[in-house]
Amino acid sequence: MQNVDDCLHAAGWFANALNSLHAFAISHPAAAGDFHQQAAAWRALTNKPPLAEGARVRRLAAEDAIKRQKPYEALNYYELGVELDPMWAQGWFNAAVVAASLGYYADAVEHMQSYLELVPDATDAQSARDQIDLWRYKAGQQQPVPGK
Amino acid sequence: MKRFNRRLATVVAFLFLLIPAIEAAEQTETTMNFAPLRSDSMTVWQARRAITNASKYAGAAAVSHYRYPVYYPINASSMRLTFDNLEFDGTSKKGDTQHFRVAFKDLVRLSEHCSRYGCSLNSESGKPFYIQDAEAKSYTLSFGWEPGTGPSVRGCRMSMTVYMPPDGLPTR
Repeated sequence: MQNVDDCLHAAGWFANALNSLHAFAISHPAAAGDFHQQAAAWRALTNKPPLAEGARVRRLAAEDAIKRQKPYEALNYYELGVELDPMWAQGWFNAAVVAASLGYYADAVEHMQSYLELVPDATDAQSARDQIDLWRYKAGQQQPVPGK
Repeated sequence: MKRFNRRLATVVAFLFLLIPAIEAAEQTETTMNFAPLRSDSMTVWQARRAITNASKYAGAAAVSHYRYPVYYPINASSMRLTFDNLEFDGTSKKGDTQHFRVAFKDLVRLSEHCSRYGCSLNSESGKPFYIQDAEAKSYTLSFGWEPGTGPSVRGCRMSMTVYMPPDGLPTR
């Protein structure tokens, strides 16, 4: 039978995805609320802490992936970085830009909103808000492929 | 303003760098869903994208099961993903549509099991994988992959079906 190996790959990938979401739901029971509170506390800090080491390494890996023209890898590394250090504003910004360039507009909107939550008064905040509006519009235009 | 211009220039240069890769990705859209990354490095967003992308090509299983005479093939376009839940509609052969919700925190760990005819997901404990509808009735959720033509990823068709167990519905 042809392609059973591909089915194994597809099934394994899907299982990993569900298991990852399960693990995240267990470890982050109120992820959105947590981030809002953490962001507010972080904004109030006069001296911001440096980027966490794990996130710094992911930043280097993401930049390396971009040089190798591997945008999917770059996006994954940026997202791993912001998971490790959710206060990495530039990581959210870059993740948003890469996600949008790959057509993942819903994720791009989420990432850019996180960026704005951390630095609402950034000089490029209005530009970022415009991007969010544009990506929302594009996300709305993406029609689901009908199942058969 | 200078900072913004600098950042804008960086982004433009960055996107310019990405163009060849994006073009290549568009040519092999379905295969790029399987980026060669270790499973333990999957982010929640990557997991959501993986499920969304796979679901786009999912078909409604038109098979019966002797143990579960009532089944609900899932309408893939009805799927909604958040950080916490997966929701979707299933319509039975009689046209009865049910709305189902899977809370990720209630999931059991799943693993793939394959035969020469295809693959399915089972709980690692071997127990049935139950989900609930809006009225808290329990059902069995089934994912399957088999080689085939039509909407598929790399020649492998995915199906999702909810089975209603016979008498003695299990409750959570």
